[in-house]
Amino acid sequence: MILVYVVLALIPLTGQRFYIYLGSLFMIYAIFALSYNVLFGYARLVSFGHGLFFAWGAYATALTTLNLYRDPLVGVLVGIVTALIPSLVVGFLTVRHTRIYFAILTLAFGMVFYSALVKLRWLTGGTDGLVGIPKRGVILDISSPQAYYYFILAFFIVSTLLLYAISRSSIGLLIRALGGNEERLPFLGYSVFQLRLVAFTISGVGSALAGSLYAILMGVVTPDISYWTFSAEPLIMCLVGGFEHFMGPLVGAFVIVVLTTIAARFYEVWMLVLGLMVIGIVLAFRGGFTGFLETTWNLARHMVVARGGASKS
Amino acid sequence: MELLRVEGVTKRFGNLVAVDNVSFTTREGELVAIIGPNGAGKTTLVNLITKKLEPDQGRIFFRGMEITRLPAHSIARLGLVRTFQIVSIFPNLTVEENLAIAALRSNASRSDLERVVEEFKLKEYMGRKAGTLPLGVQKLLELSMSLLLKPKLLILDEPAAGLGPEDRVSLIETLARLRSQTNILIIEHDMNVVFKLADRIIVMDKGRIVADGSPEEIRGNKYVREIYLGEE
Amino acid sequence: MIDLDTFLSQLVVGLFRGSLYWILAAGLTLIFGVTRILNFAHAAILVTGSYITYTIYVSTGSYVLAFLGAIIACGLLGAVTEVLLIRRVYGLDPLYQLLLTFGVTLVVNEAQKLVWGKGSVYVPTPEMLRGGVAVGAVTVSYYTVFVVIVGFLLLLALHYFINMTMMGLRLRAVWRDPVMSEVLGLNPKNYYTLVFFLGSAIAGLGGALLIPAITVGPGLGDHLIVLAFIVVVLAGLGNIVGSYITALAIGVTWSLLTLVTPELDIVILYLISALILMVRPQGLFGER
Repeated sequence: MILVYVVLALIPLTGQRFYIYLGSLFMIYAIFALSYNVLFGYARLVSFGHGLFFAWGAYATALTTLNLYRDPLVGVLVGIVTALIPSLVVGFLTVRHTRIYFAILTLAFGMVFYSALVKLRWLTGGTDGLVGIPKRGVILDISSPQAYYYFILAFFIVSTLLLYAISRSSIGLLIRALGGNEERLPFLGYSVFQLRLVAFTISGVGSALAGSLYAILMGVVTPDISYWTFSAEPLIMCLVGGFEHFMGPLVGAFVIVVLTTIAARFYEVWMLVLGLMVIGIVLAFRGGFTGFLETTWNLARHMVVARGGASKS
Repeated sequence: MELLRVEGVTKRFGNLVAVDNVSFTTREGELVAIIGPNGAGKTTLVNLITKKLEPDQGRIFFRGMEITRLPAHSIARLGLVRTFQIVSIFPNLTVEENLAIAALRSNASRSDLERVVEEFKLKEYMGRKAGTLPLGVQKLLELSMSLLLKPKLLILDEPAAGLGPEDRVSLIETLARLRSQTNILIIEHDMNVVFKLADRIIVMDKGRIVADGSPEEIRGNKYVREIYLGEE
Repeated sequence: MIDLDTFLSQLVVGLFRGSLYWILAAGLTLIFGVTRILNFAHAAILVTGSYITYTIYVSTGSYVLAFLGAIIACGLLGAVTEVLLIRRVYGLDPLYQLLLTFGVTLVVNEAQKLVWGKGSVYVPTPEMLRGGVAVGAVTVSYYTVFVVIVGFLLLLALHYFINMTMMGLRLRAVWRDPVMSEVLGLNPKNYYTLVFFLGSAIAGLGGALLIPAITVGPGLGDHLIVLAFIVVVLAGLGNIVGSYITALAIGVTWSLLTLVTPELDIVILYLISALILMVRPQGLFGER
């Protein structure tokens, strides 16, 4: 993990704007995917509405910096803190339903938000969105690519460490229990509703952080980040990278961001391949790429141990 | 002291009356076994008591307190713990993690945990994913988790199901040992287990209680013999 | 105030839309009812049906051929998907089923773009059905009437098929109790394939009917699947008649909402749907 931080920290030194941009994008999507995985990989709840939180963070940040207080840091913080509201509200309303209804409800809520973003022109700029999100603020000036890269990196490090700590904590354990055998938990004295809500809120706030950073990076926000197809992005990243391991979504984010950029010219073919990969993964390696790696690693380890044992006798 | 009181509990599934106006009371210290042919409503009754299902009618009391309206997790927190006919643990988590989840709920101490691991010989499996364990060990794990919750009443739904003969013998020994730690209610088909352990046997058939008494009384009961004729 | 004529014409538009939503939802509900699989790719199949209709029409000039071709092609598409892919995930965690059909959606969408390009397509209204009839001051186009009638006929056909025929009876047996039906000598697997064929064929019908009315482009499927889910879930999963009523209700409600608040019409619609679902998760006509 530290290796990842080091590598990421070194990227701006290359001076290449393209890599800096790519790195920034990767970090943002990684935070999005890692947050999403708290709900998806750990609790096994599929949400098609997480674009809502991403968009919330993005628009909250945009609106704050454009209208209230012209500073990116403040904007991002506002995005994160206010994200508790939609997370708790939507979570409260959706979490008590069974998985399929949950998926559909999150889809519906995501679309409510999307249509609100489109229709409330006076606030959100409608389909054109909001532009001119500043990087030069009162507290912080991060207008150079290196500067805002490190800005994002700082949040990346903090949030990934936090998410990691959560995953290793009691709460993380309980959320993973939700995914493993949810029906058992009430009979051990735990409220499934409360646990699901906690998982949902964590993933919502994390997604909002990603959205806030996205707004700063892009300088512009549009409603399509709330459309359900965008919510599918972290889903695909978690699937491809492996949703059972902490690092999985990171790997997935990396793969998708890099490959999508490379394949930009062949976008449709790439998406087709992606669809086939999703199908393949679901049918074969349920643990995703990281699961595949783990299986191979275990096999390798067993072979080494066996050989070692044999040579001793 | 009254432990579990069930009054007039009924559950219907469409036209089928799975549990029909069942009433009984159990006392502390008394190991009760509920037996009956398949479909008699035994598991449904347990599901109603532990709130996996909602009763259509009736009331249920645990240690004097009414639990009819309480959700499952509150009932478990009061000390009414159950295991499942098809063993139910967290397959994706390690044995250690499974136990931790139970220990967390009841604030069990380090020594409580070690005692349980020692008692059920789980030490060698601690790091393994629970889903990879053999059935007998999974059942022991489920039992240990239930004990870590410090139950006042432990309801075991067919604990012997799926176990081979040696495992069944250990089960009887284990349950005999556990009697001193907590109150036990078993649902079972294995008459060996039942007659060796039970102080009192309740017999159910077609949703109703048809007999209730000591093992000798039940053994001599003609009706019970009829129900089981050809079953063993 | 809104005058009667505008109200009536919006009502008609609502019925038209509702009938299309119904056709979209009918196949989805049918498939879910029997196989318990919510086919995410259903709307994508419908849109593919539109494109196929376009291609056949452009090359043959015959509406009839185009309609039939789309129906059969989509049916086959659904059946093939079932045989190759969906079969492998029966009985598995619904999570995997949902993800699988989602993957299929991606594949179908992108394959569609590769074959037909990213542009939109349109087919003119069939000559026989051009023009309209005047009802008061409102003009109702023949095509609208046609679609509404087809929708209603579909309802009757499905209802008859499911409730009155032997095949329907068998399907209902598999629907109610797959294990028991196996005991009775029915092989659920074959019926699953059949149901996927039928459901997807109905989607094809929907696609064929859609394209003479509106321009169809690649993003449409994404938009429609949300509506399809909402109809199906609001009605109560697996409920055919309920889906018909719900679909029409949604179509009409949306059209009328547009009259009142064009800014918030869809928002309110989604909100109402979400609210209903929360209060009555089994849907308006579903059973717990």
